[in-house]
Amino acid sequence: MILVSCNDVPEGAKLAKPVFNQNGMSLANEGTALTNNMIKKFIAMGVEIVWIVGEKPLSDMEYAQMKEKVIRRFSLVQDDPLLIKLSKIQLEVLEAQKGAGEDAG
Amino acid sequence: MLVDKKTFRKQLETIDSIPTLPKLMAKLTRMVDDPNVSVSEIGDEIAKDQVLATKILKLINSAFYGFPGRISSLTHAVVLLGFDVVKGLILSCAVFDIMKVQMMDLWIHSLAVSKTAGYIASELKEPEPEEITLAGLLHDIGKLIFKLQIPEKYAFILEEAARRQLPSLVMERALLGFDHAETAIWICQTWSLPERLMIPLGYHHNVTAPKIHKRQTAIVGLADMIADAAGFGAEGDGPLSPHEPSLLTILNIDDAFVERIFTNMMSEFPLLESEIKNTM
Repeated sequence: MILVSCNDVPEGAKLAKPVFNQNGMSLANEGTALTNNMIKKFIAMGVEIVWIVGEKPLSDMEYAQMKEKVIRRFSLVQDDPLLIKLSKIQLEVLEAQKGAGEDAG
Repeated sequence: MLVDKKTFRKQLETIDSIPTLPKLMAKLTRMVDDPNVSVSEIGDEIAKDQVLATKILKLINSAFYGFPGRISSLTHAVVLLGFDVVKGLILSCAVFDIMKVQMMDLWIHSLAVSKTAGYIASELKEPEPEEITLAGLLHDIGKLIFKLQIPEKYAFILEEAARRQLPSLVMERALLGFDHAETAIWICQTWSLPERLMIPLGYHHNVTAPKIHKRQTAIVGLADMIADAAGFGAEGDGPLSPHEPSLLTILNIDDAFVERIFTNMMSEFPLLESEIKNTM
């Protein structure tokens, strides 16, 4: 779960927490996929930040530690094509999280 | 062997390390078997323990379990979900209280497996997805029983598994002569839980063995593998073992299905922590 400015939130991002206006009225529920129109509406109603589903960008050290854990977890199943595919998916997700940090930096 | 199997099994018949549960379970089982007892009387009996009743309703109505805001009373829950599911929920609430304090990683793993099992069940259009969700929630109850009944020996098993880089299941079998799945069967028998819950709990590591409830068992086994692969394994699970091909053949699914479920759950699992806070 990450906190992002409404100006930076990408269309399609899923809300990790509900959004309320300044009077406490609910504008959108947790799990809602955001559209550009909704984001504009939030900004117009004074909402500056929202919690969206996702991971904060990984530092180089965090990335290295998590990658090491994945490799260790899958170390005994190198002959199992299905589990190798799952490990690749996980490494791609880690890579994307690291990439997000580099983009932001 | 670290413990005598027969003695251990005998101890489970009078297990008292889960407070209030055995008496309540025994009483509810008697009430269900009595044709003169109404559903509302069963609901009232559970509601006598207000803390437990509140937790059960909170769990059922949470977004996690999938009946958000629909079930307002325990009588309603028994009518809608059936007594067996409610009985399983009572067990879940009682064991989760202990897990939260003593085995946080097992608690999160159980929720991850439950969520994944429920998702697979709905994707495959299984007729009773809530029962499969519940089986996922309770699938590792045998590990909790180890922690409560033989804490030092179980700690030793986990240490040995970590030291040898082996799955804890292998060390359980080597050092005890039985494992947490077999223990789950004994507990289910002690508390008269239904076979459709007992079989997935007892055979999620050996999905080809049961003659009945094979699909439910395979779904829980597959969900367990997916949670482990995603890094939401329980303490001592260690490196993954090769997957059991029967998991896919029993369910008539292919690798692409598993990859899709895995990718979806990778984005769901990080939300578990916030869901847990809202659940209990």
